[in-house]
Amino acid sequence: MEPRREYLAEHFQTPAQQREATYLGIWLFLATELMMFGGVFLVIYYYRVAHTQAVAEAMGHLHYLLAGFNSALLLTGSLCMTLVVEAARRRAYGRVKWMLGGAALFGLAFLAVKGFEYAWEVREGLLPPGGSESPLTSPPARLYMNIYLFATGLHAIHVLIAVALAMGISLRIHTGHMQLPERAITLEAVAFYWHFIDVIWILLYASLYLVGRGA
Amino acid sequence: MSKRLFAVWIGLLVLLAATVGVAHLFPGYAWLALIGAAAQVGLLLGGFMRLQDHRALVQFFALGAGFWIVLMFTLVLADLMTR
Repeated sequence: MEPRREYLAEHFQTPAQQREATYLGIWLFLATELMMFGGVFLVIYYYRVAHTQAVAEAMGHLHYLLAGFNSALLLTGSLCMTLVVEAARRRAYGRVKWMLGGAALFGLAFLAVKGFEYAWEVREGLLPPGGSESPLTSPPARLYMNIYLFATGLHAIHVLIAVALAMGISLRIHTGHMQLPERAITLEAVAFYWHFIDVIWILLYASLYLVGRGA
Repeated sequence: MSKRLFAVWIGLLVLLAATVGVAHLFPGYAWLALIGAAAQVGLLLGGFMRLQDHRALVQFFALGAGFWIVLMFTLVLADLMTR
């Protein structure tokens, strides 16, 4: 008997039905994530409207060019993940592993740059606890930096999870625990998660670093 | 196929550069960064995630959270800005 080429869990009747359920599941999960970050964005914009000058003062100290470079790193990681999915569909398994490694590398580079940025801000007294050497004089400006730290920190945790997923899947493929193209749908789900993290960063970057610079 | 993906990636980087450029050169118009970010999100959803190729139910799930966030923003900011 010809072995089945597409993985099919027993509660599904067709691969198309399984794919549809997977897409619905991953989008539902991403929707819950979006709702969580939605609260963070609401706090950012509420605070902006309530303390426009203080936010502009704090933003003047943020390293937006460095963060822009970080955006490019994350977008390139996203490209790698789409190439992973494409390679899995074409059964180019060597390329799948390389691209997964590439995505993980760009994710790690993003985290390294973010860590460098945090260290820079701590040295400048911008991040909590701040202290007397902080260039931010008004309490609302200091509070904006707390919001910035929470929002970017929460995002960085998500990047870390995405990197761990990419590395874990690469290892599973390498050791033969994940068969391709049967489990290509799993790669698609991880790629969706990676793209979602990109979407959040794109919005965070504009909201925290750019909008209101000239206020 | 790969060419299309690379074109989307280049488009995302160009939009990013344009967004940063406007914020850097014209700080008074930095609010345009939000439009640039929205364009990037649209390109990512359409170019990388291929949301337009999914069934209507999947698209409904994907855009549903966005609707609730818009509602949440509208109610809260309307209260703040009309006091």
